[in-house]
Amino acid sequence: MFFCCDICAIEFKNMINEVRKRTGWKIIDEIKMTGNYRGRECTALYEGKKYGFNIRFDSKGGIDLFSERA
Amino acid sequence: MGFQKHNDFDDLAGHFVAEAGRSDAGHVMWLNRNITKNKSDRKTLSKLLTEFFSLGSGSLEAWVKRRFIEKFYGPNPHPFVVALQHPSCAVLLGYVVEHQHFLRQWVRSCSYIMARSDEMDVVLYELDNINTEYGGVGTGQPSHYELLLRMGESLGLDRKEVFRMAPLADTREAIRVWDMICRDDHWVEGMAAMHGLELIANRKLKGEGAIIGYFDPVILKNNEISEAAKAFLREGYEADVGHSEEALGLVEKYSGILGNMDDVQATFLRSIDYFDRYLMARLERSRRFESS
Repeated sequence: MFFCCDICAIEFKNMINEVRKRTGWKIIDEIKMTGNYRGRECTALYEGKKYGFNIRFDSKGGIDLFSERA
Repeated sequence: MGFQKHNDFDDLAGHFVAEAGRSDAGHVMWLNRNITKNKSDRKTLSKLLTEFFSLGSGSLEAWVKRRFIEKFYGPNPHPFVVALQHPSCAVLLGYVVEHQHFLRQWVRSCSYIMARSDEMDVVLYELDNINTEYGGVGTGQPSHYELLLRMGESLGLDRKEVFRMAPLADTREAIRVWDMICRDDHWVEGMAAMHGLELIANRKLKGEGAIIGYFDPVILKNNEISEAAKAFLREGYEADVGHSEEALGLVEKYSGILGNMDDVQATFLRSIDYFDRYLMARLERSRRFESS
């Protein structure tokens, strides 16, 4: 995978870890994302299952806001 | 982000390329959000930065408005502004709690500008602005601060309770930065940093490219919000065209005389970055009211 900077890579790792922690999934097939730095609407996919969430990152790549969507 | 050498975009580009190469988050984020998401070499970036800061055939005021509209009123308007179109009680309460801190800082910021400028038109402008926002004029014309507190009370939040609530982290940080700008940077930069923010309620921006206004003006006439909320929003609706445009006129005049327009532009951009976060804090506060 290629990222524009370390921060994006950190954000990606933090997001994946959070989703795995909350869903119990060992693998994530795909994450669809819309939005921008003010907040992103995401859907994680694994074997036909979907998990919707909103996420925002702080300036160090940590998760600033995380909420689940129905 | 400030200019290392005045108007030297090649030098600025070199600085950005170096910082992006080190994966410095602040520099990479600024480039991504304002210039380009593509990795660029120094020559390309120099050209892009020159274009970004160029006034073209327009004025500094027009440039400030263009950048402000891009950030808050472009194709992806700021989420707080979207929420304010037809605001819920929670959104208005979030506004009250965070904005009290903003307004208290406002007085300090304007006072710094007034104290650090010798220009009579600037001093008189800041005096009038402070009075409108904070002092009020007798009982017939309460200040925006008083109207804000009354809006909270109309929604069931006593002002004593409002005063007890500390600012959220993004509000606190924004206030710290504005305080520093007005205390330490040139007073013309301070004016641009603070009064540029009043563009948020400038209803003329819709005619200048903004896709929506600060709120849907129909809410001033129907029964969606309380009378006190209408009184608060109406004040800004009516005052902030004049406030913002007169200030930008003064900024243009004095940055031309003093030759520090590039610093003014850089400081303005910095200020609206923090304003962006401060508006998100209002929304975060409103979410806490929703869930309580």
